[in-house]
Amino acid sequence: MASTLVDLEHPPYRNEGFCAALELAVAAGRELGPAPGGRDAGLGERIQREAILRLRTGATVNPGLLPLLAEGRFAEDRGDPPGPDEVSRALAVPDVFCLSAPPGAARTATVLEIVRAATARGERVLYAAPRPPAVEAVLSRLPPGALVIRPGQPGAGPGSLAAAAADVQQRILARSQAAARSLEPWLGEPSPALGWLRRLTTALGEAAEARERADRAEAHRVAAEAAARERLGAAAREREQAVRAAQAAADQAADQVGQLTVAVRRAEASRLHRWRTAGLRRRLGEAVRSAAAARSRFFQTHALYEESARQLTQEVHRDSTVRAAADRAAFADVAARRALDAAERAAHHLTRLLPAALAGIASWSADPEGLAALAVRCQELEPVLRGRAGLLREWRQRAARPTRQLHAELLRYADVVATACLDAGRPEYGDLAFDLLILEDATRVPVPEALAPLVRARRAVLIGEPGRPPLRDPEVARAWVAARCPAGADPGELTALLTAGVFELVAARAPARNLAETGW
Amino acid sequence: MSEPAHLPMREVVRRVGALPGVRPRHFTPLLLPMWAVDVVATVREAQSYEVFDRYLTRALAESGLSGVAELAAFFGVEPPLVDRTARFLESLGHLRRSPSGLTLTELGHRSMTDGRRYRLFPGRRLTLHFDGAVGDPVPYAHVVHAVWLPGPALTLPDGTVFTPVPGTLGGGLPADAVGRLLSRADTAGFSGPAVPVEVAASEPRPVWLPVYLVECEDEPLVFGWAVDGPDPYLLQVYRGCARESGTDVTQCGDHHGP
Repeated sequence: MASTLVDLEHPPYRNEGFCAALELAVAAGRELGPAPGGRDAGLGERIQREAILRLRTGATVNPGLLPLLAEGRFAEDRGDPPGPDEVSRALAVPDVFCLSAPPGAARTATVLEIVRAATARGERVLYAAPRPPAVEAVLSRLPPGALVIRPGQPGAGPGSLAAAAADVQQRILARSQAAARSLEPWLGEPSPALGWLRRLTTALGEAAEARERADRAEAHRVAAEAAARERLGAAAREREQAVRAAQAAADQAADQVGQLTVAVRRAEASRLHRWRTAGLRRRLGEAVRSAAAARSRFFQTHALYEESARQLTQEVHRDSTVRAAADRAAFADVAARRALDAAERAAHHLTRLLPAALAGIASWSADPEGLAALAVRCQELEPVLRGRAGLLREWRQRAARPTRQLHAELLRYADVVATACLDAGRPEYGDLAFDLLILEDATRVPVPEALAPLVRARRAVLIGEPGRPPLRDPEVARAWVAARCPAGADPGELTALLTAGVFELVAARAPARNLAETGW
Repeated sequence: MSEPAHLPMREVVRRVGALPGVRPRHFTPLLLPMWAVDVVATVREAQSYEVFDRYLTRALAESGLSGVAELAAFFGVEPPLVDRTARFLESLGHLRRSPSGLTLTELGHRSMTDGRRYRLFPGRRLTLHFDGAVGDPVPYAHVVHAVWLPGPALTLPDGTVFTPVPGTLGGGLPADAVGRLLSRADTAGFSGPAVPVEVAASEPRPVWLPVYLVECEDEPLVFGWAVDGPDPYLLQVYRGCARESGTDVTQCGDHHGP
């Protein structure tokens, strides 16, 4: 609740005198009878006195309300350009705006547009009038889902708290149904989703163990094959050595042929050594024949070695130890693949149970790393989704039960509350605050009565009608004031409070930017 | 008409006589020395949650949701309803808004855990009471169901004179007595429903609690006003005072036979 601003330049006695005049006006209302159109003063007296107390102690949502009413001190003009029409001007004024308009379609349309525009800005609107205003027209202007409440409406009529609560409960049940269904697999101890998550985790563990066993079996097979090759490969190794020797001999013979070929060319090119050519050619011919023979021996030896190696491979593969190791490795590999397949199946099931909003994590790769990442993410999400599922179930069960407990909250959170002036001071309103008050027929509402909604609103739009007769016979009011006005009180102020509505009193002192007039 | 400071002696005699197996020897009216500390405190009061505020608080704590739109979608309500509920809880200091969404404050978490909507009220004036023996806080039931005397003198209309247990307040109230009370998990048991969480304390002042010490053939009994029968708490305080004073308090004051 807002606190009173202390203004050291303006002593409080003026405002205190105004508050005292308000108290007297309430007392006059009791003695003179209610103002025409007003409610029985006896019924509303306590509400009016409480509103005056809030005004006096500064417990008003608009902290400048008391100086505004008592002294006509409106909020300072911030220099903003005025809006193009009454609606934008009414919404732009930071304290109280007075709209003078005769009853009719134009006024109704303007008021409804102010309500619509304010709620579109997210503001809470208190829509007050001497009698509880109808809400059907307001409802028709607001978007679906906007909460419009008329607390005074009995039973389950349009806008009543019971109807609003039932409507909100039905909408909750309808809108949360899909989410509840999608979260259902995460409910229970253990939940189906948790079951699949556990299966995925278990399968991944088994797949990792199986893969480890397969790797060990493969290593054992390789070792067994190497041992068998060592054990059975003596002949092959001998032939391998012979191949290397034949290769060396062939290479050496080829080198000799190369060297002699070079020597023959040099001798043929030299006049001094040409005589050596014949000898060198003879030796070259012998070397060529020798190299061909060495090459032939190499091929023969290599062929024998290859045959020996092939036989060794066959013998190794036929070896019982190697065959047993290979069988074990193959079986282990199959087991590892099957374990991974089981994990993949669990992942598919789990993915289907994730709510649609979490589709982002539903894409995963079917390898151990991808499946493990999915399991980790789901393990992180499981408590959250379980919590959501449980909370949503409780929420829906709560929404399915008829309850009056919602009424106070709906009143606190409604977009628009439509009420009679004095009803805005009823206990169920508690400390409720509104962003905007729209007070219809403000020319028919005395200030003490108007205070009940005014003290709850940050800003107000007063709708008045020009040319209305005074609330009471001025002569009767003056006579009462003359007889009862205590010393020190301002008789003129008290008479004005008894005969004029809040609209006249505020509009008379409002600056031009806080005033507007619409035609017929 | 002001409340009498204690029961008349004859009423205590009647009550003791109604206790089976108790054989009283002496009745001694005593004033137990106590401490009162006037504090200006920020107090925590508990209210019942309503519907939207309870579930919004739980959602923030349990569901990992924090955005107004996603919370509205989760609950199946209009976003302004969530926003206004959040604004209400924000005004109570239960949550704060940040670019990442709504987050519960410590007060909000505590409220959710206890299932009670706590609210802080600064500037509340309280009087905390501590016993004069070891400076432990006095249970709230004894605080409210007792007449605390500002001075060590009391004479009832029937002529019963209460005398103080001597010499126990000389050591003063331990400096950390208020701090220890505030750090207890069961502070409400001593402060009442308005639990102080931060205090500006004044100097402690001595106060006196009238009791009847009933010496029996076996264990003594102490009668205060908070309990209809013998009061074990006051017996404990009396024993602490007797230990602290080092005197035989049964030799103090008027003695009355059974």
